[in-house]
Amino acid sequence: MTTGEQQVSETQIAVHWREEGYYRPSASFIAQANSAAPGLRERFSEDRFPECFKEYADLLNWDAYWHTTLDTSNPPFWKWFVGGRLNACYNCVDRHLATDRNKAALIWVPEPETDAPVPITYQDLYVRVNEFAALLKDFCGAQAGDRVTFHLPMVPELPVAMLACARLGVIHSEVFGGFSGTACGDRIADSGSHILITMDGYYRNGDLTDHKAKGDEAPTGTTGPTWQATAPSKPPTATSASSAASTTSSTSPDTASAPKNSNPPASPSTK
Amino acid sequence: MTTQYLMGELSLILAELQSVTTDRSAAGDVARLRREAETTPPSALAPIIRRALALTDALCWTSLTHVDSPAFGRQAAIAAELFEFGVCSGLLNDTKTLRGTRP
Repeated sequence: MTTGEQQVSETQIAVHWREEGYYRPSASFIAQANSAAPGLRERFSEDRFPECFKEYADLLNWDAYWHTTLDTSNPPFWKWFVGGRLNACYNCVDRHLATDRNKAALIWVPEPETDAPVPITYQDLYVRVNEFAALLKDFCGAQAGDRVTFHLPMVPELPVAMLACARLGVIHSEVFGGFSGTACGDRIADSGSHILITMDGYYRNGDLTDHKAKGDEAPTGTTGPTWQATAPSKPPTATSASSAASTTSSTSPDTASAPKNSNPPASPSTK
Repeated sequence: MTTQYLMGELSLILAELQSVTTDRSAAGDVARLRREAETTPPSALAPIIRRALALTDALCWTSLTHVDSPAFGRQAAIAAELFEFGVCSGLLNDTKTLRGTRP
């Protein structure tokens, strides 16, 4: 910048900045792309629709194989792979154990930024998902078709809880972690959910956020969740946030609290 | 950015604003605005962020009037965050119309 030119703030730049550029991928990147497979266009041409998608269905493990690729008889309620039945959790986790047990299923980049990324292998994930599914089933009494509300930030416990729900056939509703407890309560009431999964706190933009307060606020004025599973009160540092919620998911009954209007089972069993 | 993220992020910024609002009546306004941000369709977020900016502007002026510079500093920081979020999310396209309400 030459002398006399006016200093411009980042916000002023942002006002005029738009993502309009085009970036050509390198030849090596194009070569490794899935869509570079020879004959791809022909395989998925219009005249082969919808049967061409059978090859994607065959990438999954089915409990009951489907009989109709696409049912268009009642638009707009199109149904794919009619008659089929599968478990999404099994497809995401279990079937990878045989060959990729020690491979990272997900790598969590925590806050504070100085903390090391946390790899979670398929084996770890399998154990944690099963523990959490046991908590939902035995301690909270969740059954297939029930609704569960999550009020969780971006932590590994979120996919663990999602997969646990899928494993049981339970329907989950994720409420953005930034929403207030009141907004979460509205969604609990709307979905008819009786279980709220939340946590005590987490780091956001470097600040420790008291998330449990929102969880306490959520059931107020609604029918209220029967069970409110919460991570224990530990400072949620990178590793402890993970272990904190895994303690919850490891079905410790004293880490799940019931709201005042709830009716807990007489003897909650956890496994 | 997903629509849920936009709603949630705006809700968080409004929660921050609520925590630095010194006037009880204004705190109620911010709470109502936050409630709107969490419940209205995502397509209606733009007017909410404009109202939030206008409200923050008014709060800043009130703090200046009361010579409460710490409060002014906190509120101005949130105003900047709100503005930056609005611009980056595309919710504030016409920033030229956003002027302070007082000279």
